Amino acid sequence: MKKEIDPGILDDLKEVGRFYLLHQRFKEAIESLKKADESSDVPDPEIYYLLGMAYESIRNYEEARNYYEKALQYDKDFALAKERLEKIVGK
Amino acid sequence: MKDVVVIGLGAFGSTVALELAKRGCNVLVIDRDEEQVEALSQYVVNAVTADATDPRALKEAGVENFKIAVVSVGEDIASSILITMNLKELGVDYVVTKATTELQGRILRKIGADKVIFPERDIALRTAESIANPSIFDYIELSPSYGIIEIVAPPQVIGKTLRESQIRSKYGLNLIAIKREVPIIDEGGKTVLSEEIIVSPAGDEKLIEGDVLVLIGKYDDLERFKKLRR
Repeated sequence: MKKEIDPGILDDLKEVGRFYLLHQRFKEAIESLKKADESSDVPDPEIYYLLGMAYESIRNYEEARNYYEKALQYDKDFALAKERLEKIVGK
Repeated sequence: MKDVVVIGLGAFGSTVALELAKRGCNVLVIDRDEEQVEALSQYVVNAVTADATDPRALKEAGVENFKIAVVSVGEDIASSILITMNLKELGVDYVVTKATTELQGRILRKIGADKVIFPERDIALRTAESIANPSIFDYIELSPSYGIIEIVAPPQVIGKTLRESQIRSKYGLNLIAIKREVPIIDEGGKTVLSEEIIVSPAGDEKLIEGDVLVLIGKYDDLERFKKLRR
């Protein structure tokens, strides 16, 4: 079965961001994910969740909180984002 | 099992009494306020309503049989002094008394308190520190000159191995552990964070941005390291 290739730059940037995140290259991850967000017409809660994790990893809890909240704003049932948000309460 | 008498059942004393009971200690609580005593009576071995500034009342409550006492009667320093003195005269070995100011602490030590604690001051210091310097997560005083600190790795050491960071050779500190939030893919294929704790890291461990360093060392050296940030 041939997989349909999504030529959308959005997905590429998001996956590049995820790749950097998983390799603990947080600055590059944030850069790619922000670009992914900018180039998308529809807000993608997952991008915000990934950004939240990148910021949490570098202990910038204020930005982390902003992005987790943003993820929840567009997907109020985003359990993973909710979980992270509860973990960083008071930090 | 330890026998402990707790005198004064405000928020502090009540919590001490409950936590001691939870840890299996035989606790006797004493307070002037019957309601406070009643509230705790089901959790502790014995609860007595009495005026602890009166030595006879203490004796009647059986305080003589206790080796350890905790006194926290709030702002009332005169009562704290009287109660502490009564307890020492009744032969209680180890009396811990709560104070709010350094002067109170000095008086209490003079009249025989074995340990004076300043919970409000201590928490105030931590609160101020954590607001003024958010990169510091915690500080534990081991002695007046030694402590343990949890601090976000400053830019000067990021990207270096532990050896290259010269934390020991230059700053005189020992790294006990590194706390790190590691993004991983979980069993469900989801990207999540997992907290990793690297205990006594090796010299070739690389420090990355966001690492929280748990350091032990002399107070002055820790202070010097704290100033590295920014």
